[in-house]
Parts: sequence; structure tokens; C-alpha cells
Amino acid sequence: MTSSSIIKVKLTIFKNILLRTSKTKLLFFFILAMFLLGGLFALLYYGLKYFEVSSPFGPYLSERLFSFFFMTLLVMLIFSNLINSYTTLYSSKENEYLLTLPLDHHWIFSVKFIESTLLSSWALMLLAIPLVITMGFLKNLPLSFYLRSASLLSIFIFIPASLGILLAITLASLFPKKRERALLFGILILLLPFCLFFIRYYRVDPRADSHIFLYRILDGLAFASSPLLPNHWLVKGMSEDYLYYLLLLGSNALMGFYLSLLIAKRLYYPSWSKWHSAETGEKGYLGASWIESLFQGMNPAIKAIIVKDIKTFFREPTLWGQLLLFLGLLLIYLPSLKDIGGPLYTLFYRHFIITLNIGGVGLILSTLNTRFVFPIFSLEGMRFWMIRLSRLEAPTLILIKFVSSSILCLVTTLTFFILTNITLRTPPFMSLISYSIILLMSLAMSGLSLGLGVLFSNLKVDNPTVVVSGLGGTINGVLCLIYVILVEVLVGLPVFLHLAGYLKTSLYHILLGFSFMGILLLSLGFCLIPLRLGIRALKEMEF
Amino acid sequence: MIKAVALTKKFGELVAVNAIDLDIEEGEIFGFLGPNGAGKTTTIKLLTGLLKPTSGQAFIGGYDIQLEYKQAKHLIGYLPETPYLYEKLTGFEFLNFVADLYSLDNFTKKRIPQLLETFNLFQNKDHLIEGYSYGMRQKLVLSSLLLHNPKVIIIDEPMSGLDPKSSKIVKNILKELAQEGVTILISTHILALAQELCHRIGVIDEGRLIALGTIDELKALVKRSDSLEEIFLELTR
Repeated sequence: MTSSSIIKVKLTIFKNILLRTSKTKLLFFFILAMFLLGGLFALLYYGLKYFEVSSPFGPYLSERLFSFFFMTLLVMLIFSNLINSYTTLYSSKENEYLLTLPLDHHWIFSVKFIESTLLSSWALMLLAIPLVITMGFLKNLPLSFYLRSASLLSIFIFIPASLGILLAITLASLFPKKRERALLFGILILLLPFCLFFIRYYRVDPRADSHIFLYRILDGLAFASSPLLPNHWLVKGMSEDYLYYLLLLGSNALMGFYLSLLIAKRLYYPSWSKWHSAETGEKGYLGASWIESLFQGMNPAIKAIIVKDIKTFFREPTLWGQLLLFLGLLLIYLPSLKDIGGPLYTLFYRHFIITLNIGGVGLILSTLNTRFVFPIFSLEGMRFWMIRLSRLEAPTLILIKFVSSSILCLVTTLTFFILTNITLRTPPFMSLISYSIILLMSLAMSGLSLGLGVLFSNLKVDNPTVVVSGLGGTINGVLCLIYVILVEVLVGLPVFLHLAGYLKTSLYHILLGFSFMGILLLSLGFCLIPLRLGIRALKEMEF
Repeated sequence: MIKAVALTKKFGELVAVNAIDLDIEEGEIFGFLGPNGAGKTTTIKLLTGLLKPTSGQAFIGGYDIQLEYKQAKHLIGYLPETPYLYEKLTGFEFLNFVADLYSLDNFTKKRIPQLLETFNLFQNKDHLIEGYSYGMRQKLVLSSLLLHNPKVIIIDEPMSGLDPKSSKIVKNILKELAQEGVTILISTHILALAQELCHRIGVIDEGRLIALGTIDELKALVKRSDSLEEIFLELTR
């Protein structure tokens, strides 16, 4: 009975959602997904092909990059499973219901294991599709390669799932309800592989020679190809000894699941009870007085909303935890810029690094905005009537949220950019341009996410994952990504043309100016149109 | 049928339930009263095996809820204060799901339409639960907990969100079940309901069971012959 009944009901729920979703909506989703995956494929394929053709190290580098991509996928899957399973296993209301039924605790756990694995992995697995196709196209591999890859990937996901879930149980047992500590601990563990990369990277003599620079990157990436890592088995199995690596992945996935089940048998219910028995009535840290003093003289209603949002942000570790993870990654990466000198240390190099950083930060911003800013309105949920009944008008409400989310994005990314520019000794004018682009990106993506967040709000759910994984969240994620790509193209075009010898230095600067104007117009469009639509939707919203 | 022996639960330094002893007989309707935060819900969570006690034991039908939880939980029908429902299932699908969880046979499953009819939910049986009103949800959960013919029913605020007609139906059902030998534990703030339904009442305050007995025994305890409300206020002063 039991676990099969729960799985059956989950399938019924899925069927009900599908049946009640309009065909147009489904078609839209499909086209959107194809567009996104196609774009990603084009980016990967042409980028890696360029590497392969233009450098003798090319094929070697692209192989290392594949391993590193899948290593990153492994780490992201562990993190995603950790976050999802922590919620699914401990704070979900469904478990409270299931635990009152005559079901074995480990059966409840196994259903939740599968659910958490699928929830955590499907989006990342979708992203792996263009990666696999790129690999196949670059090496002209036969159709069987794709079938092999699909089977290997579907087994592979259970390994990071087991690790993430085991980590979640351990953290919940060690720090019941102290989510901040649990999350910090998890983040530190997950930063480890990136630390490894940079430790290896710094080992090599940092003298300025482009080959040494390349060698350092290759050496730094070498740990991702360690034969002990599942991502290495996955990549190897795609190209050679399929059966051996399939069995290796399969046996490890089974062992991971069995180990999780064994530990869950002993620890799941006690840790669940411990988690729900942790001291209640916790005092809200970050007292009211000093935050309120920051907004003295402001309209009391506006002040109340801003202070509430700030307190909620700092008291909800899942919100700032991921921000901390990104900052950790950026801080590990930053010193690597310092010790490059000599022939590579040109104005062009600095522009190149800034272009890459803008792309990287743009991706982080798009994740932050889709994950946190987009669901802001939905998460106000049933409480929203309280705010809506205040004397505040819809535009003011949106403006408050817009300013606070933009400031949050800006503080994080600007700090990183100031540090980068200091490290690179970037000239003031170029620094100013980079700060302006970051400002525009923060405003554009906050405006876009807020506006779409209101347009696609779902006031009935309390779980941000549900809000984000809906149609609106997907559209938001895709539009953010498109925006980042467009900005990156506009910033990178002068660099590329200059590098290819099409552009003299004087024209290079003029084109930079045009690029900046393009980014300004693009950002205004991405920010203001959704905001206007959001304001209109909020005015018409019924509670 | 429901037994607690020195049942204690601490949340950090806070003693939420303090050495409670209870013995509720078969066919008895027991009312659990107490001010907000007194420890009623925690006691119920300990009795249903949701939480592990810090010390002491709880038994359902003679089974230790911690050690023999499957057998014990088979006997229980539990309605929490804010019940969980699968929003994207229809009422009918939800009841079938519950029937599967309890491994009920097809013959018993035939009770589903009958229960839906009793609670006036039959016409909405194929609608998604997300569209149900609060009262309809409450009635659906009540139907689900009656489905497997439990020997023990534990309800946190049974009349919450019910209209007068539905309240009357629920009260009648509970009375009938008690007559059939089902043990019922009700936690409520509605003193009139406790006075009308319960054979015995336990009053809990700051985690301690401060009074236990029939209405007459409680009256004698506070040396007053007033309503249950007056007795309650006197006890929890």
C-alpha cells in the first residue's frame, strides 16, 4: 500500500494540473523551453567550437570544461537537493499529515526522497540537454550517444540527491530549527570544490605568460576530472565503456539511496520531532529601533512596509543564504584577477574581464530576481489585503518594493564590481561605465521581476518554489536570461571586434559609447514596461 | 483506550506538557480545555505520535504510540486544527487516496459516496479541493477520518468553520460513534460544546492537568454551581 498510494496520488495531482492547464499555455511553455534550450545550445556550440579551432589546447580545454560543467551541475544538484529536501522533509505540512497515518516512517521518507530528487533536478537536467547535444555535435557522435547520455543522466541525479538529502538530515539533526546555522554550514561545504579549483590555480607560478595562464586554468579544472567523482563517470560513460560507467553510476546511486534509507530509518522521525520541538517563541534578532531610525521622517505606512521587508529578509535564512553562496563564490574568484600582469595586462584584458564579470553578475542577478523578487507579491499571500487596505496606492506599493529590491541587488553586485575594478586597476572612466551598467541591470531586472510577479501572482501558496516554478516564474527567468545575453552582446561586441582586428582603438571607444546607449534603452524597456503592467494589474486585483 | 503516563514535553527550556496522566475509556467523549498556549495541541501531538515525548509514554488501544506506532495509528482518526489537504485533488480522489493509505477493500470504499452525502459534499465531489470553502474542507477531513472506522477519534476544534447544520450533523455523528464504543478526544474552546457532548473534561493550564472529572465533579472542585464557563475561568485564573 502506502508509498505506491502516495506516488499514485502525486501522479493524479500532476494529471489534474496538466488537464486543467490550457493547451495554449502548454504550447507557450514548450516553445519557451525550446527557445531557451536552443539559445543555450547555440551559445555553447559556437563558443566551444571557437576554442577548438583557435587554440592548440582547444580540444583539451573543451573536454576539461565539459567535466567542469558537469562538476558544477553536481554541486548545484547537491545544493538544490539540500534546500528542497530540508523543506520537503521537515517544514512541509504534508509530512505532518502523513506522520499521523499508520505508515512506516522510512516509506514516507522514500517517497519524499523521490519527490525532492525530481523537484530539485528537473530544471538542471533540462539545462544539461544543450550541453549533451553540444558534446555530440562537436565530436560528430552517433544517435546512440544521446540515448546513452539520457540513461546515464537519469541515474546520475540520484547521487547528488542522496548527498543533498543526507546533508539535510544531518543538518536538521544537528541544528533543529536553526536554519541559519544549517544553511551556513551547507554553503561552506558547497563552496569547497570551488576553493579546490582556486587552490590548484594559485599553485602555479603566476608569471605573465599566456600559456602559463591557460595551463593554470587547465590545471585548476583538473580536479573536476578526478576519477573519484560521479560527474567524471558520467562524462566518461557518454564517450566510452558505457556499460561499465552505467553500472558504476547505478551501484553508487543505489548505495546512496540505501544509505539514506538506513540513516532515515534511525534519524528521520527523531530529527523531525526534534525539529518541531525546537524552542519556540524565538526572539526576532535585528531589533526594530535602529532599522526604523534609518527611515525617520518617512510616511509611516511606507516606513512600516520597508521595515517589515528588511526584517523578513534577514530573518529568513533561505533568502540571504543563497546570496551568501554567490558572494562566497565571487570572493574566492576575485584574487585570481590580481596576479595577471605583463603582456596580458592591457586595457583590452581589463575590458574582457569586466565583460565576463558583467555576464556572470547578470546571471546571478537573474537568479536572485527570479528566486526572490518575483515571488515577493505572491508571498504576501492572504496577508496582502492588510497592505492593500492601507492608504497606499498601487504605484507607491510597487515603487517601495522596486526600490528595496533594487538596492539589495545593487549593494551586492556593486561591492563585487568595486573590488574587481580596484584589483584590476581599471581606469576611472571604465569603472564608471561598469558601475552604470550594473546599476541599469539591477534596476531592469528588479522592475521586470516585480512587474511580472504581480501579473502572475499566486496568493494561495506560501512556498516560493511553487511560485517560481510556475508559468510566470519561467517567463521571468527566461526574460532575465534574454536581457543578460543582450547586455553581454552589447558590452562584448566592441571587445570581439577589436580582438578580431575589425576595429581601431578610436572606433572601439565610440562603439563602446553606442553599446552603453543601447544598454540604457534596453534596460529602460525591460524595467518600465513590466512595472506599468504590474501597477495596472495590482489596481484591478481583488482580494 | 487513550492513556498517558507522566507525559512530558519540553521545547528547550519551556515545559509545554508537564507530567500529564490520562486514562480515557472506550466509548467516552473526553473534552480537553485550556487557555491559548496551555499545551492542548502539544498533548494531542504527543498522543498521535507526531512528537516524541521528552519523558513518559502514550498508549492508544494498549499500543505504545512510539514503539508500536503503526498498530496504534491504525486505530486513530485525527483532525488537526489546520488540516492538510491536497489542493489539486478532487474531494472524491482525496477520500480514495485515504482509503488506499489504510488499505481499505472495495466494499469499505463504497462508504465514500455515503460519507460525502452525509456531509453535503456529494455534488462537489469532482471539484478540486482548492475551490472548497473552509467549512467544506473541514467536512471533507471529517469524512476522511471516519472512513477506516477508527476506534479512537482525536479532534482539535471540531466545529471550526462549520455552519449550524453541519455542526449538528457532526455532533450527532460523534454521539453515535461514542455509543458504538469509539473513544473521542475533543480539544475545544467552545465550552458549550464540551458541556453538551463530553462525559468527562480535563482542564490544562501551563502544561499541567489542573482538573479532571465530570461537570459535576468540576463544580464540586471549585465549589460553584455555575456554568462550565465560570468553572473554567475560576480554574484558569
